Amino acid sequence: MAALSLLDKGRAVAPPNYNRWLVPPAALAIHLSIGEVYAFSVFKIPLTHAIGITYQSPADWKQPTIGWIFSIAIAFLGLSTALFGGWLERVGPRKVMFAAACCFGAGFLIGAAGVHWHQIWLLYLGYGVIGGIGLGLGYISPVATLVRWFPDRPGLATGLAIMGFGGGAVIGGPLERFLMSVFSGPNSVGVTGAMIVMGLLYFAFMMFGVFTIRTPPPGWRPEGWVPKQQAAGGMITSRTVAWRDALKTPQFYLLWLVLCLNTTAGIGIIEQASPMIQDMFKGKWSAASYAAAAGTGFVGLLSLFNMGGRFFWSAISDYVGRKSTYFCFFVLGVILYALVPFTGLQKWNSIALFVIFCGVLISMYGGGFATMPAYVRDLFGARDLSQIYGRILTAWSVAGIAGPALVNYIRKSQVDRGVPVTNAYSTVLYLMSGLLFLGLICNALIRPVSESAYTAEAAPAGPAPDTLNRANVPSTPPTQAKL
Amino acid sequence: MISHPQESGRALDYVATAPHLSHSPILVLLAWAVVALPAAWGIYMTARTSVQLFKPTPAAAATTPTLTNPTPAQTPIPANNNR
Repeated sequence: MAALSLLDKGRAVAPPNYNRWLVPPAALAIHLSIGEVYAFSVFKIPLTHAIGITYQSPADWKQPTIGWIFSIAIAFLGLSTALFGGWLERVGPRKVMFAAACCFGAGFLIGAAGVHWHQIWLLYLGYGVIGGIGLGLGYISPVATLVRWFPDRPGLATGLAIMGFGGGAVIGGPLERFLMSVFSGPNSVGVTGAMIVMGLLYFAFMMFGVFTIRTPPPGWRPEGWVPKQQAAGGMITSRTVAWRDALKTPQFYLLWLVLCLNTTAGIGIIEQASPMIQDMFKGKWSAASYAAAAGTGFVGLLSLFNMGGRFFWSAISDYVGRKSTYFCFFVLGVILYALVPFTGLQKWNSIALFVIFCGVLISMYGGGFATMPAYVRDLFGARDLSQIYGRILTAWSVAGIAGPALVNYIRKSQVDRGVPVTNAYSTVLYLMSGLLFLGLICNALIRPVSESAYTAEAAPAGPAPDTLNRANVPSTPPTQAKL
Repeated sequence: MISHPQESGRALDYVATAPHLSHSPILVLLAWAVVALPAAWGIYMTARTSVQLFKPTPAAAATTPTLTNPTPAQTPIPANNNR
């Protein structure tokens, strides 16, 4: 198994003067692939016609049945980030990224078998469980490496990678539609062929990331960069909190709540985006097909805002700080969620305002994900970033189920009580505003960790050394030309 | 060309080599192109689809919004909407 030794941690250490700008493309290759999960809903309607082809036959799956595929995948994403953060630190990013590629690709292939044989459990197992594990492994594997390469700009670096996750839907949606059009016919809606091709394509694309990723050599730091000593009460530490100790700090749980509340509010809109715009402006379009096209357009716009927000807000956070960035998310979010109901047909009747408000909200949803790794690094240091951040990502699993459930359940109960469908989202939008207010409080309570939480060992002055390669740090650290 | 630092027990000795291939700006551009091209395609296709949101359509007849069944599917389903 000499070939597998290429995946060893030591084989991924960068040579001297390695250009660190070669690392973000490796991360992007992974995130652009796994981000396809946000476009999985494109398969939803065709899967409800998998047997009837042109109509939904009694034997076809119902939408709620299919909806669980996404939820299972997101749930396993969060679980695997929590479980495998330690493994990532032990074996390095290359092996984990390879495992992610195998799981994500296999998830598609097993899912395709499920579609072909009309066995929903194969979709749950394939795309949901195995694919979800691939999502989690792929999500965390490049993040800690990027933070180590860019200690001077962690927000920018993680924003670049996690922007890729938002971009994955931007690629995945059109790709799914194109492949289904190629493989569909009188006897097929085209999902089986599309999933097989996508599994193989994404595996190959992720392998580019696997063999491009490099970790910085021990003691490496950007030329001319000197880590700032932590000011008294400062929010950015130059020390380390071991992950087991981090779990005992209130800051860990406050960060968890911050991420969960921000995500719950955003993911509820994402999951319902197309029906929401069609309902809130019901009557504006003369035909269902125009309304459906508008819904598709709205989903596309939101994915662009999601993608852009991940990079924009995370990059901004390098200058204004993470706490201030989240303060902005929550204050703006409280206001905008409360205003969205007024944009509907019966009040301001403004699609433009509705789209702008939702776009900003979704940009902050993405920004919340992209900024969190840097927030964790600021509070707990870089050494155990994967283990700590991986556990915080369980908040995503919770939000992935709670968000859509809240939106769907409250909307349905409003309609059942006789509320016009154009107003059926008001209550849930006000609830989201309230959730973000809670998030504002949680964020405000975050302070630097107490002295007792820091590890007693001498703090590394620069990026954390490779924990398996305990070479002495040279007196003149290897650097690269300033970029 | 070395793939990893040589450990000497005192400090890491970095063997001087000719400029490493990873230095090449062309390689950096190529690596970015590998990821940027599919992303650019996706952004273009998505933006093209998004325009439909603002496309003028024949005006709807004036109606008072009324209570309807739960949300229609993203594309119309002729029968048996079991959502």
